[in-house]
Amino acid sequence: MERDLTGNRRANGLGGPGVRHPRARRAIVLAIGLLFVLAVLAPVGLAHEASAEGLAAKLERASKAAERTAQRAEHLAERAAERATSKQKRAAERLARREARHKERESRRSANKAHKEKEGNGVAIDCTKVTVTYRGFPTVEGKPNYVVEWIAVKNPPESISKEPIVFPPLIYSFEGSTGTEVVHIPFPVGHYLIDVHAKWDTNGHKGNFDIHGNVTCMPEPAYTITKVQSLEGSASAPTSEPLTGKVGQTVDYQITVTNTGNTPLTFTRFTDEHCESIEGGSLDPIEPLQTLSYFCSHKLTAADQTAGSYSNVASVTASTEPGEGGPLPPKKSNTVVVSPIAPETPKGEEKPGEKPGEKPGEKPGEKQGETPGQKTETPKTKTELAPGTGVIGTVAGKSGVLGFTSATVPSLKGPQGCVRGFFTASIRANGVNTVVFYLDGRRVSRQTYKNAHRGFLSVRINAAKLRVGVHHVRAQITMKQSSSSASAAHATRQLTVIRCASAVITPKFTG
Amino acid sequence: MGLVLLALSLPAGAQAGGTAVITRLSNLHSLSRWAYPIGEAVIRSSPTPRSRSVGSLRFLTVDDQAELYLVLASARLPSGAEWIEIEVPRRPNGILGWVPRGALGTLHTVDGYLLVDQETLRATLYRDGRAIFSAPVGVGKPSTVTPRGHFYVLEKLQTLNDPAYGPYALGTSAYAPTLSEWPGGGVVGIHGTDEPQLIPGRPSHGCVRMRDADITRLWQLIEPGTPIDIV
Repeated sequence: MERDLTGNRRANGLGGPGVRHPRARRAIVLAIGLLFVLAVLAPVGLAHEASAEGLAAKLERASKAAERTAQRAEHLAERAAERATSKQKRAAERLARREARHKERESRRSANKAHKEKEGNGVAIDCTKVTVTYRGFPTVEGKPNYVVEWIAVKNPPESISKEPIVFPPLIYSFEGSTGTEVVHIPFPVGHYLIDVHAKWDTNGHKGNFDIHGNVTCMPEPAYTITKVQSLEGSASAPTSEPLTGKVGQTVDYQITVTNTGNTPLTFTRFTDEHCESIEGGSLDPIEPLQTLSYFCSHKLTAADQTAGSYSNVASVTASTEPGEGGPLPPKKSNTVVVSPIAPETPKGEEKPGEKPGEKPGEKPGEKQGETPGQKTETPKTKTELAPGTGVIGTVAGKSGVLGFTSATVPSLKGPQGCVRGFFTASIRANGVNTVVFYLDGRRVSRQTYKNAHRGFLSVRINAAKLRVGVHHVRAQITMKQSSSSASAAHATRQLTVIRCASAVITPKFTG
Repeated sequence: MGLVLLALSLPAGAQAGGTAVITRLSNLHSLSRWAYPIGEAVIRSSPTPRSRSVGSLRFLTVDDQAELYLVLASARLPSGAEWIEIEVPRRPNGILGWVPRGALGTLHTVDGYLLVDQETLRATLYRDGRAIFSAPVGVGKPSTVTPRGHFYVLEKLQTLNDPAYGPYALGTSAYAPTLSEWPGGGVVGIHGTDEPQLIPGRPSHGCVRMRDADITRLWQLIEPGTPIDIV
């Protein structure tokens, strides 16, 4: 049997190509058989039946019956052919309809794509931030649009987490039809698959998206240094704007260094030439997004007043962990300026025109330490983002800034070169929940953050008991959970320790 | 500080579209840097992981002291990876190679160098451009010559049970060219002697011999990682 285009079976034998119905074929076979039987039996009948008339009548009846049968068969064949044709036609119509639907879907899809590209939402990912753009939202006077978004890292390194890391949800608001949010996430070195999911039901506009992206990150060390100043006794917030201070008054400076890259940085060589009593800072590595503050001060002198103004600038040098980008050039802060004025007149010698409570040199309504137009405000503690990146808050955690747990796993520090006696291997306790120390694969100590001493978790090992050669200290670190939804990060850090022979030996030199 | 910044075009195919920034870290005279290895690493002929291997970092010297490597330059690749060029203390002399920055520990600095002159048979230690120590030496016989070239101090030892080495000895990164079968592979040392009458002269198997008082003084002055020029 073969199949025609519509999938129906087609007979190759009886009935020919036009007769496809089985009943028609059966009728034709029956008619031919009957004629054959009559033709065979006719001579026998002649021999037994004497009457020629009777024979003729019989033959006539048989012939009519065969004719009827043939007609019926032909009729059936015609109907079968008609049916087959209509079936074929229907199949072809179905096919055409299907193609039309497909074409319509395709055109709709491409139109949607074009619309999204032009009007829709988008996500851009780089190694320090995820930028989410919302478009086509309603503009309602005085009523901002709100969206809730979730960011997930689907493939964190196994050493950090075996499950995707889902950051706490962020609520973002913006006015007008378009908004761009920047979420700062310092991705450590590696390749990451990022999933950004957002949902909104705002000002009558409802929707959501789930956008996937990926990013490959190399070490990108970066930092900023900013300097602000305030006058002793002033209620004003520290500012980078010029101030007016009296001779004898102390100017307090605060220098803030922020690690804005994706690798830990160690800050050294802090200098501030025109600043005394420098305090603060740390020689410990500073993790991405963390800040380090230095404080210093200067008492304004008559010489400063003679010079007209007192300005200064701070600078610091940053270096990366080994293999994570190399040393960075020193960077200077912004310059801050104070204009010294004559010292305050003694009390009781109020000059005409000065109101009680106002100090000399101040304009009415302006307090000391403020620049013209500056109003007294309580210090801002929130991380300030660039204009246009208006994050209003998060359900949990800091606004617009997400810590990536792997970046906070500390390194294992220990001796370099020969060890022959006791040595200490340690990690910074900041953010660590537990650490298990192993020496050459054998567990030697388990500690929790409660065991931290001076900010370090450490193990002391007596190298004198080790054989001469290379040994490995391994720290299996479990970090504290960054949020209830995120799983705790795990990491392993290893240290190679060289147990040397005594330095009092017979050398193997050629002599 | 004698540091030089230059751009190095990497071999074709070694790094996608890149120029590496090379920073010279040692000038081998007034400022040199060295480091202990802190991780296992293959030493490469150029600062790319695909380049030819020239060996691997060792942690111990032949005298079971901590091996250290003289650092010549660093290369920062366009990818951000940093590699360090080192002198490799093994036979044949003069091998240089590159390792990832993370394989080496803190970079230590050393000022000055030791000059061993086989013509004048004197060793002179320079620091801050001045000779701060000078003494006569004994060098290799014509059949077992002391190798010429740039080397460095690998280890500082106090000798035990063998007056032939005197009270103190300095292990170097140099190997005697002819005595490859010597125990330890034929490391050239700078040490004292029990035959001071042969100094100055050419009595040794390749080592640099000094009178015991001189090696004692030099041992106190010199630091590990100090470059040695043997001319």
